[in-house]
Amino acid sequence: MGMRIVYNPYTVLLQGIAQDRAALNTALGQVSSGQKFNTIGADPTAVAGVIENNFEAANLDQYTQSVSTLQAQFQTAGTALDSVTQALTSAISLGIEGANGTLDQNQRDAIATQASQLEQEVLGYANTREQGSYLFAGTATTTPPYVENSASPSGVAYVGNSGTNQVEIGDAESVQQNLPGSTIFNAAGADVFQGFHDLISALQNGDATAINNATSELQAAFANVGVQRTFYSSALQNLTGASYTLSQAQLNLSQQQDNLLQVDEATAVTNMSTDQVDLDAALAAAGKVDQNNLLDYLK
Amino acid sequence: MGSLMGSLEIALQSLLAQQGALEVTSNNIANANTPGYARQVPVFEEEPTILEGSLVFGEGVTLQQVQSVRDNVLNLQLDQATGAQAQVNAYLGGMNEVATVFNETQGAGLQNAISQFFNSFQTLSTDPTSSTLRQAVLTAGQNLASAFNQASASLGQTTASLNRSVVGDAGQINQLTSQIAALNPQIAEAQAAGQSTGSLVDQRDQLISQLSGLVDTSVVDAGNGNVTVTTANGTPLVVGAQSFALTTQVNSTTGNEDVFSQGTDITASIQSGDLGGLIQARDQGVAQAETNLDNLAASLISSVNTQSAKGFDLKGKAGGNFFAPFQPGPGGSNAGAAAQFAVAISDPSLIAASSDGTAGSNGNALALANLQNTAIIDGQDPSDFYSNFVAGIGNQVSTATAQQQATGLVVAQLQNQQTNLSGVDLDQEAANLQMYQNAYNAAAQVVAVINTLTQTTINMGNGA
Repeated sequence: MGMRIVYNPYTVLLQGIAQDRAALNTALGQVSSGQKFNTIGADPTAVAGVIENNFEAANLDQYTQSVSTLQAQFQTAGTALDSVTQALTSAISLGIEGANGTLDQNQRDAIATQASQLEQEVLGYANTREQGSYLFAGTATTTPPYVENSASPSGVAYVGNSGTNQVEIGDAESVQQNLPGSTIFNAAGADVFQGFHDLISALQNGDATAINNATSELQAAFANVGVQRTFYSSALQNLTGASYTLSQAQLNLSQQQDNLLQVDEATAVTNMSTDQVDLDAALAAAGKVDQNNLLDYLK
Repeated sequence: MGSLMGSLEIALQSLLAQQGALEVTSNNIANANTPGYARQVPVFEEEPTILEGSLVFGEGVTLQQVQSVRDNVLNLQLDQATGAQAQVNAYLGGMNEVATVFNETQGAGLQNAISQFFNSFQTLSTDPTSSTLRQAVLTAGQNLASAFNQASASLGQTTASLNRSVVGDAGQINQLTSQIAALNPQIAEAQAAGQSTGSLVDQRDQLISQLSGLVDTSVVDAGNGNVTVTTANGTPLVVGAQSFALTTQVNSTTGNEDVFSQGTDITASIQSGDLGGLIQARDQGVAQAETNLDNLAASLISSVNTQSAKGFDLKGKAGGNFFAPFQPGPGGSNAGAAAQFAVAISDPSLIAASSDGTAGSNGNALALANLQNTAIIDGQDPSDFYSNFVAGIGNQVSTATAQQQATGLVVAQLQNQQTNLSGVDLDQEAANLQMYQNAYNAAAQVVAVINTLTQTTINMGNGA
């Protein structure tokens, strides 16, 4: 007699059915969630990658948001400096006009008034704000950096500071956020407000030589503002590049994440069908188990 | 020389023996689906022969005993495998709860809160005087604190539920050991009286099997039908008619239920069964997750506060604590750091974003944001530490799941072996039934023949 085998098909069948149901559940989970796994125990190595990617994705979103904030600030600053340049161009024209020997004092006083209006405009631009912060105040951004002050030789005092901020736009990549107003408006020999002050006094005094000197000062100031303006335009250009790099990095990251986490829909659906067939077969087999034994044939 | 009466006696004994065998078969068929039942076989024995002159006559058959078919070594293996399976099931149950708390594949866990917190400082760096952005930092800080609080509370709930199960298991173990202790003397008594002990031993085996599913169990045959049951490392559970109850007691340091036997703490020595798995999940898996969570919380609190103190708030004052400071316990333990995680300030202007005291400086906000990429815990930055921490839990679950499958296969295989040895095979019982029926019929036929012959003999005497 061979090895004793006790006929007990249900244990085997139930194990098989349980396995098939588990496989079908996994497949259903994949199809419904679109993810390869939905628990951290299913693929711990991939989970570590998924978490690192989520951290990096949040950082990239943050850098993108910072780039966008900086772009708005740089555009506002650039536009303000463009207006300053225009005002300076007008002031230089006024200086050339005022130096004309044919003008009488009344006409020069009228030009002085126009120059004074231009100076007020420029003062306004120098106190430009973005989201409530003064852009040309160094890091003293909560108060207007330029105030009228008779004690100051130019009549306008800079009360900001020389501080600059860096803002991060990538891992270990940052850009300077601001130029202190003193660099733009108060450069040595190119002081915008000193130029206006000297022009207005020279016009009021009817001193042609002084008018010419003041015009030269304004030309120097114009040149300096132009040079400083390039900080903002080149920074904007850099940001455009950075923005592209960031979107590429986001794309790469999202592909990496998909590779780790996303299930191939076709495979998942095929698996589901196969598992369903397996389960059906096991259930059908269980229903057809031969219940007979020798007792049924005893007479 | 043989006699008709002798033959009749042999036939009668045969009838009784076959009748007994039919009863055994009937009992086997009745218990075909009874858990723990070991099939029984009738043991026939030839009666001693008698010598008459030069002739040796057989004296028929007797049903000597009814024997249960069991393999004690196989039972022991099955008990051990059952214990290992129950242990991994219980451990996995606990660890699956831990994994749910940090299931980053479904968006649960701390990654988002950590990212949002550090990135709120990045955003603040673009406009450090903005009250909206400062408020956003406070909110992100509160969200981070509450994410740690919740994770800590969830782990605490898991521990509490494991503790309740430990107490429940101890109660079940005590019930089983007292039942086993009650069966020992019954079996010994029956054995001494030469009675069949099959069904009592079946009951005791079934209880021991249940006990193995709860705690690591070692069974030694103490002779006379008694078994001595101890844990694997020798703590007595049942000796003869006496059972030794396990008790549980809350440890004042850990707050966990420790298991005691006769005044000795045996918690750490319980390795197998449901109780072993519960203790392993509680004292290793969950405890390790709690330690990691607390260490991460403590590192974040201390590094953010330290960096905060290096900066200045919106009013130019030196920065104070951003988070409520945490004081490590004895031995530098950070236990409780995650539960106590809280933001210390409610005034957004107190956030120390400035590095030089001017309101618009963002240097310290950047430095705070960069803590995310600074090795502030175990030589790793918070994101690396957290990813490894979660992957570690995932690995524990994954390993335990593989073990669960492996132990399941071993148990199924051993159960299969046990069924093949001790299970009731209806085909065999049917064959036996027919065999004993035939033998009974034949013996009855012998009685009829002897009866006829006896009549013939009597009629001979009547001179017919």
